[in-house]
Amino acid sequence: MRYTIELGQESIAVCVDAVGAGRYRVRVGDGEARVVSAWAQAGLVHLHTEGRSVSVRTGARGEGTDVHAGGLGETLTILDARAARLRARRDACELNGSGDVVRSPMPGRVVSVMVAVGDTVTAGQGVAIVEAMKMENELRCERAGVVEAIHVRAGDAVESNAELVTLGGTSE
Amino acid sequence: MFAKVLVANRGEIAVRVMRTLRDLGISPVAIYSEADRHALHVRAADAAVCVGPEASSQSYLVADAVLDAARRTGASAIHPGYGFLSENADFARRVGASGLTWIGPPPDAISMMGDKLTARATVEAAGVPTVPGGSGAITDTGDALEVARAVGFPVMLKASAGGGGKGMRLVHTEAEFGASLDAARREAAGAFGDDAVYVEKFITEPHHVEIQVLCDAHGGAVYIGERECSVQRRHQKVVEECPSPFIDEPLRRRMGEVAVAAARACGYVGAGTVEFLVGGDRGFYFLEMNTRLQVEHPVTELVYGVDLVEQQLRVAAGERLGFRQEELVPRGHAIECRLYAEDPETFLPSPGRVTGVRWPGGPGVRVDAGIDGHSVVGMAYDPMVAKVCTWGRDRAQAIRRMRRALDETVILGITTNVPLHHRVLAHPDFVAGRYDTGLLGTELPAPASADAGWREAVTAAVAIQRLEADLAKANNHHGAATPSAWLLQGRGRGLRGG
Repeated sequence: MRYTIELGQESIAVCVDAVGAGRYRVRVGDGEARVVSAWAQAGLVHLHTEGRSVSVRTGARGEGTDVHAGGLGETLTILDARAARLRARRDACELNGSGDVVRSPMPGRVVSVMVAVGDTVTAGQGVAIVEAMKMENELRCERAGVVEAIHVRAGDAVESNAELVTLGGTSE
Repeated sequence: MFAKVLVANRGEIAVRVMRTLRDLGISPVAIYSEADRHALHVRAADAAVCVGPEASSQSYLVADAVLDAARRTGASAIHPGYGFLSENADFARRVGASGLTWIGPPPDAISMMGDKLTARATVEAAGVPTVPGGSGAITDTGDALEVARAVGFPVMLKASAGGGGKGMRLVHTEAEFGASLDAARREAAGAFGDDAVYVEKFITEPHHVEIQVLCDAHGGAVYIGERECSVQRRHQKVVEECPSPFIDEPLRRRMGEVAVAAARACGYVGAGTVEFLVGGDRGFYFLEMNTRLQVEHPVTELVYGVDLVEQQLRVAAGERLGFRQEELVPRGHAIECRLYAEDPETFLPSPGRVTGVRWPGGPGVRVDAGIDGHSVVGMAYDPMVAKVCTWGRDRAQAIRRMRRALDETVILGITTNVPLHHRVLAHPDFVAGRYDTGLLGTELPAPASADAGWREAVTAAVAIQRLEADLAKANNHHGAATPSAWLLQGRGRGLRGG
């Protein structure tokens, strides 16, 4: 079976087949195919191969998966071939879109919007304040541009990943 | 002793208090908001009463609802934990007036220490040193500048009614004084509805060191060492330790005696904490007294072998202190890391559904958690989800054990600040025990990052897990309620194209 794993900025192709007795043939990216011994449970995979033992804990986070091994954690997304195709198509559409969107990274309540449509903003400038867990958090845009649309008002409740402000153009 | 005690709190501190209640054979009663119906602290109790909707202003902070919960469950005492109603003198009075026992200090002591200016005047009269500055709230800019000149720049502006860093401003020079004063007053008015501020001398190389005190109702009073709380971000503590690497035995004794004097000055009974600012020259100044259990109390418990919640209960039940000052001898070293549901780089909160938890264990490790693998971290409450503490025979062992404990800690589904703790523990100044409140403002060691081997192992593991799930799903879709092993084998093979 072939899967695509998105980890950070990378997209990694992984081919995996069960070869019996808890053993799997795995090929990660351009690496060589190897046969590993693994014990896969809900929430835990124990890789135990050639005298090496690695425990990987897993848990869902939205559409993605949180992984933790050896004191390090990351969030990744695993896609089967069909989901990977859909994802690629969607990404292509977004690239053709009008510009970056500043989103709320967490659910919360909008305290204030600090920009107006037509404002020129610089990279790293605060565009809105969202309160969550008793803390006010200033959310900034990643790049410079002109504010094209504002999607929220002070007092609005927003979900995680909600669109706050859309930037158009690239002002220099 | 009490038969049933209501814990008027949530999260890790409610769970922690209930553990001691069980140690003493006391039945714990929880209160909860609608959002917390199945929260860990509710599951840890024998009985639980809903006190209102999610917003704490409509639930955990509603005195009537909490008192009613105690009445309905037949609890004879209320433990407030920290935060929420713990430092609300009116609530403490009402608990007593309802015929219940308040597991905390006398309401008058709470009010006296709750107002910064009254607190300062009270302890000054008892000979406790305070930071040089104006002892009165200032509303006139000219008066404020005069005080600032008298104590000498740099000075700190603070809100009279405040806390938590709101309304605080550091002013380096006279030129920026006016603008900073206006800003501090605006912030104070916005946060506390009161724009009174006062001026203090700014202490260089400041350490935040606090003394644990314990007083009974019969005149007995002891200090139980200090806690170093200088690892702070925006005046929020992140890492604490006991003893402080900065404090020696003579200074500990002097600060301890002064802290006991401060407690006596307000007629204190129970467990309390006297916070001091200690300068690079080891001069120490009273900051405030917290009239409740402190978040970081476990490090004191580990080093002094005292259960502070048990002591609170015994004092509230009218018992005398079971030990004398000279019996309180520190043993080894303890560190606490506060785990927050927040991004370690951006510090943005990260509420969400927890989908997996493994807590550390083994020698010298203590975990006080408010969540488990079945919890939802809501956005309405404090983002602190757990405290990991380690104890060692010396500081170096406590640090090594903390690194190991943090490696063992797994929290999936939400983001936590565990990586920040690793960076603090790797900081040369922290390792050397030479740091002040500026530590988190300095450059921290780079965070650990995943190498190629880690990525290959993790991606392989996740792909194998997904393959097994896909195979199981494919088999189930073929209809048979419980397909035989033969069928599974055959279908699996078919799916794999072999």
